[in-house]
Amino acid sequence: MRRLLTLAGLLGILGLGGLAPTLAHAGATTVEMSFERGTVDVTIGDRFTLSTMVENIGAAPTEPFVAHLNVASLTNDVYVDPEDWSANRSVDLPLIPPGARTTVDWELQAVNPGTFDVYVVLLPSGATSSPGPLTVSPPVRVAVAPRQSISAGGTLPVAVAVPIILGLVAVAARLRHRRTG
Amino acid sequence: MTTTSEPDAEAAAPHVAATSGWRVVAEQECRDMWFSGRGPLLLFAYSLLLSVMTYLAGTNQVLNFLEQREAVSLTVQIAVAVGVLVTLVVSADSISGERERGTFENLLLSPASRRGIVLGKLLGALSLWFATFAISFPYLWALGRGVSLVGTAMAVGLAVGTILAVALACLGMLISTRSNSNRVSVAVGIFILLALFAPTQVPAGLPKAWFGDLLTRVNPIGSSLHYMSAVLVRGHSWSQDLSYLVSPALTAVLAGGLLALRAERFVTLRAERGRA
Amino acid sequence: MSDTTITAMDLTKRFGARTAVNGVTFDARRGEVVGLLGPNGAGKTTLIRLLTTVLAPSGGTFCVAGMPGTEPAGIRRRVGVLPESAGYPADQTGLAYLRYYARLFGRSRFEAGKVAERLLGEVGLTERVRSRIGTYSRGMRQRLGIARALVNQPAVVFLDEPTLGLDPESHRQVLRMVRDIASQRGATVVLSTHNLPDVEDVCTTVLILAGGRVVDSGTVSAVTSIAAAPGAALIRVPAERVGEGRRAIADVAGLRVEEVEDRSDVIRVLLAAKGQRVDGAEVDLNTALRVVLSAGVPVLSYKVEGGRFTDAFLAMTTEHQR
Repeated sequence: MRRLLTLAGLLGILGLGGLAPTLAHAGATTVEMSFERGTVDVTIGDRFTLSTMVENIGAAPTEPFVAHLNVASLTNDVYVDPEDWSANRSVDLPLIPPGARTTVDWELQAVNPGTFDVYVVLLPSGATSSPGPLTVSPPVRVAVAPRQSISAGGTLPVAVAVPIILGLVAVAARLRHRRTG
Repeated sequence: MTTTSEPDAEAAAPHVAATSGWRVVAEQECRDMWFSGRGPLLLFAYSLLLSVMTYLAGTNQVLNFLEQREAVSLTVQIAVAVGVLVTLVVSADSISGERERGTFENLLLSPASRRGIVLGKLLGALSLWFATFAISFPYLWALGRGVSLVGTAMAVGLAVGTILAVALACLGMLISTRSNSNRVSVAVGIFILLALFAPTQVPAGLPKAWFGDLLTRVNPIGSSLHYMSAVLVRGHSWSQDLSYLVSPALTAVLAGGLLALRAERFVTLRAERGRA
Repeated sequence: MSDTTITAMDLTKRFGARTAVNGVTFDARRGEVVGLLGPNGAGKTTLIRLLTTVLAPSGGTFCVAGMPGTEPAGIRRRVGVLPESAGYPADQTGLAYLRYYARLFGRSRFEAGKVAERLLGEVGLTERVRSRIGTYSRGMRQRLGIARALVNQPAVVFLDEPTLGLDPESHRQVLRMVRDIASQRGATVVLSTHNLPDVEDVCTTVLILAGGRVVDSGTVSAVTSIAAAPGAALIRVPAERVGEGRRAIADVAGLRVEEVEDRSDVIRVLLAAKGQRVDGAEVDLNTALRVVLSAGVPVLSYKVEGGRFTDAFLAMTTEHQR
């Protein structure tokens, strides 16, 4: 009986620890975040939308929060500027009553090839908010396939043809002009 | 050799002459520009520049998506820069050059109003802007098709570049009306252009205080380039940074307005201080 | 309809402290060729620019071709001008140039081409219509300029130094055109020129400017006679009767006799003083002729020396400058 209780206690602690990344303690409230999907597969240049659900699982309304989107590169030698992925990466969240949820949609464009984690961080906002632990969402694994859309072969026809055409037009205009004399 | 009179029916219709002067002047300016071979030669030289740039972008094997967007943005910026430069030079020569060549008096003796003369010459100068930008279309297509940016690049470049071209053409023409030498007016015009371009070359990574942002917003060229870069590289919507277009639009309105209101005083045989 | 095509009242133009045209008042009628004369800097070109609305006056009023000075566009529609220092676009053909101006004066594209070709033919440039103006001689450019001044069937034509720098043949052609403009088109021509024989040849009236003011105006002959230019008469008589003739003239108060070097048969007579009377008539050079004839001396020839328009002009403008 004692062993069962100890095991249950240990399991309870482990369970709570596992849930810890999704729990935020800000004063007396807790919030939970999740994405509607865990992975995204796109090609470079593709635009996609991620929706973050923020749920107040506590007993009191949440304090004001700012939800901030981040992109982290998991590929060597690929530097990510999150500003390039999404223009609007910070959203002010309204007060969420206990048990209620709110959804934030993020518009992104995959501008680097490689593998990335996209996640959201909740930051207390307002001068009166006390600093507390951050709430971080589980990441969305984004795999971006490369595509070399321009090459020397692709641009050469244009680079050669346009000056030739314009050169001929210029010569013709000049000759026509010289003929009146 | 005799001079004979004609029946009255062949006399010119005064009302027609008064209202269509600007159209005739604009048509003649375009003819002089394009049929003499000068305009096509300019476009040829410009296309060589774009060809070199486009080919270099294509040979860059490590080009990632963002650099390609930046290549498109750079091409648009060059198209706008060269377009407004040649427009400014042509408009700076438009009145002072005719004064110097001695052909202005005959134009002043025609029934075309002073405002009509200004408008006609402005349109002639702007034809260069539109032609220059049109030449950049195939290059933008070659660079931008892979990143789905062609339409946006053409549209934003055309819209912003046209506002800037009108602003600088009006400014160039104002300078031209106040000068009797086309060398002086063209030099002043180019100097102003360089002065407006110089702040845009400050490295983007440097931190900008409020003064830096104010300087960018006040500078019609700086603010236009900032806006285009925001839309093309950073993916901002068209309305997000619209406040940056206030400066070029205001320059166009003020310079154009001054030309329209003071045409009678400025468009004279010689640029005089005070009343001519 | 009034025949008066130009009216200027107290027209003045100041450039800073300098007054280029000072209180000019005159008028001109249909068909007149008004010679506008004066030394360099007299204000001739400035006056033309005022009347053609290129410059705005500092004072005074004017009316040209029935349009007041307050309606400059209206005036420009009705006048034709050949400016003194007219430049032409070297890269345009004569035809394209005239077509452009015909269109500026309201002609349609088709009409403008027709008018341009006709006018170029009238001024003798038919063979050069499609040549660039840069290849024209000076005379051709002046003729092109006259054609351009006629493109709108003007009621008044202003020609500023149209014969400047022309060879004799071109000079003659231009003068003929000037006469034809007035006589055949019925237009008023204002001809600004330094060439005084041209004025005597072509002009019906003259307006003489000096220092921006009008020093005289009127018909050529009236101006000449009013000028009181020092004149002399040369009376040729048989050599053996010269002494008789001289004595007859010397008896007349107001006349003076001079010897003519190397001409023993010629008596030179000058007016010594104005206002003298003989037999109730004022003494002039013709009095010398009468007294020689009365003395029974045969007169072989009689010529008035000086008293030409040139002398009148020089006398007037020199006196003003004093």
